[in-house]
Amino acid sequence: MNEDLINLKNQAIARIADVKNVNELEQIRIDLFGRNGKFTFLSKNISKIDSEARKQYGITLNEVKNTLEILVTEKKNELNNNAREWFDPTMPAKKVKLGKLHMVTNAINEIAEVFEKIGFTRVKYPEVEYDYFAFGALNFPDNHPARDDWETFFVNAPDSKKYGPMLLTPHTSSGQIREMLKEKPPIRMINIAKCYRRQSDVSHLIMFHQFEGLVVDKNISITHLRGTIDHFAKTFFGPERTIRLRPYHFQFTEPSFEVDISCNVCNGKGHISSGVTCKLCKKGWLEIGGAGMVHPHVLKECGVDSKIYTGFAFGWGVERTYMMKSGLSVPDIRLLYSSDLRVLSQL
Amino acid sequence: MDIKIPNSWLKKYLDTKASPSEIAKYLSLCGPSIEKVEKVKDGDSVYSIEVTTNRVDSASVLGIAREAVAILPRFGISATFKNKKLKKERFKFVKKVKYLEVVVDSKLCPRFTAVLIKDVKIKDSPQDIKSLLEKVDVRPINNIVDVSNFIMHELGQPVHTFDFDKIVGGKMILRESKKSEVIKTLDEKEFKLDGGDIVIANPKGFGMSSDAIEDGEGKLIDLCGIMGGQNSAVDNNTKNVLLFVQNYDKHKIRKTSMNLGQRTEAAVLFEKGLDSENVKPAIILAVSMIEKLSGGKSEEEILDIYPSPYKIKNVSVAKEEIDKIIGIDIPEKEIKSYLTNLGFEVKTNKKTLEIKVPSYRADDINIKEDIIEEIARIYGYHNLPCLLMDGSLPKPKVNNEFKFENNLKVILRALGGTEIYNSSLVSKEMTSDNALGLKNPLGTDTELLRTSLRESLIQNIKDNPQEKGRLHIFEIANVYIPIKNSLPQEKLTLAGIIKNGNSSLVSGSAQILDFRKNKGIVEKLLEELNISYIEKIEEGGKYLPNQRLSVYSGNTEVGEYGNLEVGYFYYTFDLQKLMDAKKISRKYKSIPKFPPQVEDLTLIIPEKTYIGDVIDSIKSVNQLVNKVELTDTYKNNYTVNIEYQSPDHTLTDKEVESIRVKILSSLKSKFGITV
Repeated sequence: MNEDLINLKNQAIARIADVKNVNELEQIRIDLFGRNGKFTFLSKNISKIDSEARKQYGITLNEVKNTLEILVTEKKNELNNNAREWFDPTMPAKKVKLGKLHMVTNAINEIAEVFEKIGFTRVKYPEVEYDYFAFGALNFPDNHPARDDWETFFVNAPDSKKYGPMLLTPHTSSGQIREMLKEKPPIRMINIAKCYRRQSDVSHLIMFHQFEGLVVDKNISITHLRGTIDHFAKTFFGPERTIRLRPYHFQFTEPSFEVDISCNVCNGKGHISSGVTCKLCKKGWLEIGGAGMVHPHVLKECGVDSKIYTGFAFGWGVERTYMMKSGLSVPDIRLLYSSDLRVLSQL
Repeated sequence: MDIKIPNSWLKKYLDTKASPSEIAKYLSLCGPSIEKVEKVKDGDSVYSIEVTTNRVDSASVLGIAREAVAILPRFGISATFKNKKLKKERFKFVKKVKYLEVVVDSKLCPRFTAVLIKDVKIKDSPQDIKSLLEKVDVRPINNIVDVSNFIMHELGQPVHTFDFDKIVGGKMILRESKKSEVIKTLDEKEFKLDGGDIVIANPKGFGMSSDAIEDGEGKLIDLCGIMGGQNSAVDNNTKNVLLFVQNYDKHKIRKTSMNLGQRTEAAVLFEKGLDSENVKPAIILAVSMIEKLSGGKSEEEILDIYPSPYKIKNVSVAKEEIDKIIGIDIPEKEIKSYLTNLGFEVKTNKKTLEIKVPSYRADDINIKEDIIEEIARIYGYHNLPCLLMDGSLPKPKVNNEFKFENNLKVILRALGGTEIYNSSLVSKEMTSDNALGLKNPLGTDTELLRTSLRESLIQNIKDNPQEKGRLHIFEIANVYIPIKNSLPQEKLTLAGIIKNGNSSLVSGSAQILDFRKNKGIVEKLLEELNISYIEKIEEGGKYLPNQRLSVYSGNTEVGEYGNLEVGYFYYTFDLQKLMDAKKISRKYKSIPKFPPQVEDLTLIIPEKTYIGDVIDSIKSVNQLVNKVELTDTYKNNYTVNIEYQSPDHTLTDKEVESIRVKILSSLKSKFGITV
């Protein structure tokens, strides 16, 4: 009886080896293990065997069954794989070609969005201006250094009798004057524009962008300035960032502040773990720009009664602010206005 | 301005247990910014401090000590001022002295003091003085010059010394310079002056060297407030020193210093406006130091020309106003202590503070807001809460311009454009002749405000020779169109440039294929904006003849595009006009119930026939012609795909045939086209 089983096994192994397709294999499987299969038939014989030989027969029966089942499965997998069409998904991607928006555009959009959500309206005022709007009404004395030829570009055009020489706006603060002359409080404006200064080096550009915020209303105090700037810092840079104001000096604000934001590299500590000084910041803080309470002379110049209304303003460099966020360490700020696409594509 | 102060020097005036890092941290929060603290060899710490232009009074050891006394107690650290009591004055300050005859223009020099110190011995200064000077980056020279520098850093008041024996006749005139007067300064530089600079002349002239200016008023011996003249300088043989401490008109000093590029430490201080009351302590300290270090003996009478001495300035502010601007209620007692520690005298009258301003703050403190700033900063901005504004929102403004601009950028990005920002300031070659120019450009490459973006974009292509393939760059920026007697018109403009992938001037089929691709970008943009427009072939500067199209919406030309002479494809649009352009009305059309009939016709088109006109003509034959598209061209064979469709039935072959016949006969008669 055992021999029958061994013979069946050997025959089946030979047949499986010769199989060419899945259907043939299935037929073999049925021939062996189907209701009338040969293996099924032999397995029923066990009841007819005397008890001594029965044990040995049972062991052989299991061994044959396992061997054949594994063979059938392996053969099936082999046939299936051969049946698939060859495809290589590891081929490198072929990317869709999109253009690219400039870093300054992205910066302007992000900055405007933060302020628009807390009720600021974006405005637009001249980039070529008269002295009055850029300096005079902003409380700059006649012979203030910013008004001289070394810092501001003057346009070769006749002076306005009323407003003085024509110049390129050295800051977006001229927009404060235009806005207050045009609108009555409450005012919450954000003015983002090109500015020009007569200097060019690794950290200065003759043309750059500023964003200027102005709020004028009843009961506006330093606490609101702090709150607004803190809101910007947390929304734009991240909720863990904090700000601080330091005393500073600007002609058109009083009090005036320099605004710092806590450093994201050392988390405002000024040093990285093992006591190494943080290279990015000054003692845990990064300077972001100026701010202050609108000077009463400026309010008066624009016909706003400083007994009723107070206000605050801030004006910061778009490029610098965005660079601080992106963490790109660009060694020379002039690279932002490079026309080399190899540079631009990285910004 | 940035100054350096060693901690050991500060401690001469300041009694405190605060560590250098505490001093740096707390002063930065409430006063001058201490940007850096550096340990030096002998264990001393040196502060690098940024002093704002309005606070020149704190640009000295004395000034920083005054700030520390007001600030440190706010952080629970005791700090007091070590008042250096001057010895009982043995000097008399007089308007005339025997040893020097001076004529001073007090408008140029509000306070003029000078004194003669005889029999000095020039030698090195003691080590402690040399060491302090080196810590603030000053090179020790000799005991006399070192004292000048020492006093300037300690008290913030520049001091000058002359070799008295080089001043012929002991006479001086302090006046404005005349045009073309010449002075050679201590650093051996010779300057020809513009006129209007503050100078001192030695009336009888000094020496007879050939470069001497003998104009009857004498040779210049001092470029006041900037640097002394070489001809009157103290040298190793100097026996008698004329010590000089003055205050000058700040605007004149700045002008001279900037004009000549002589940015000396003294000039940087003087141009910010110094306290005339500080002149007297400075000259007394200087005399006593020089006597001590050089063995010289000072005259007892000090010349002091000071026609209008400082009058105490008063500012008053109501408690209520302080609270309103700071946003919280700070107790009056605290306010008083902050101000007193800063050197103000405060009296309360009802609810109003009446404040006397010390002379060294007189230039900076004028109105109540200035006082509020002092209170707020000493209280500490970091102690104030962060609040957002309540109250009503401003009236909403409808301003779609920013949205429109941004939408354009997003579309162009999707069409493969790379955005660029170019400088509005360009060279003569890069813009039109009528462009506005600058009076004071930094260079010829940035002297004019551009009136078009084109030349900048052409330059952008040239700046990218490494890009071998197709290149599409665009920019949205203002151009500046001059208007007589007015600010220029700032016209927000879109322009783009495309360099074709193959070499730029391939003729024939490749060229027309590139043009079609590029035109596709422009038309896709207009389509995305939903603008109703027509195009006309019109010649225009810098374009190849017959290769420029104007884009009109209604009667307004909103923009143009085409192939430039330089071989690139270029397009430009006026943003305002695009915004105002007529829009295609968007109405829902139901999906046609009956399928169209579609066929291809290959037309043989005679040379120099505009295919655009041909297509328009096909469309106009019958309104059942639904769509005409050019699908293929080969030489003068143009294959067009025509779709015929009726809204109320499926067109029969016969109906289509009759339209086709009409099309072909019309094309033949109009253009001589055959099939």
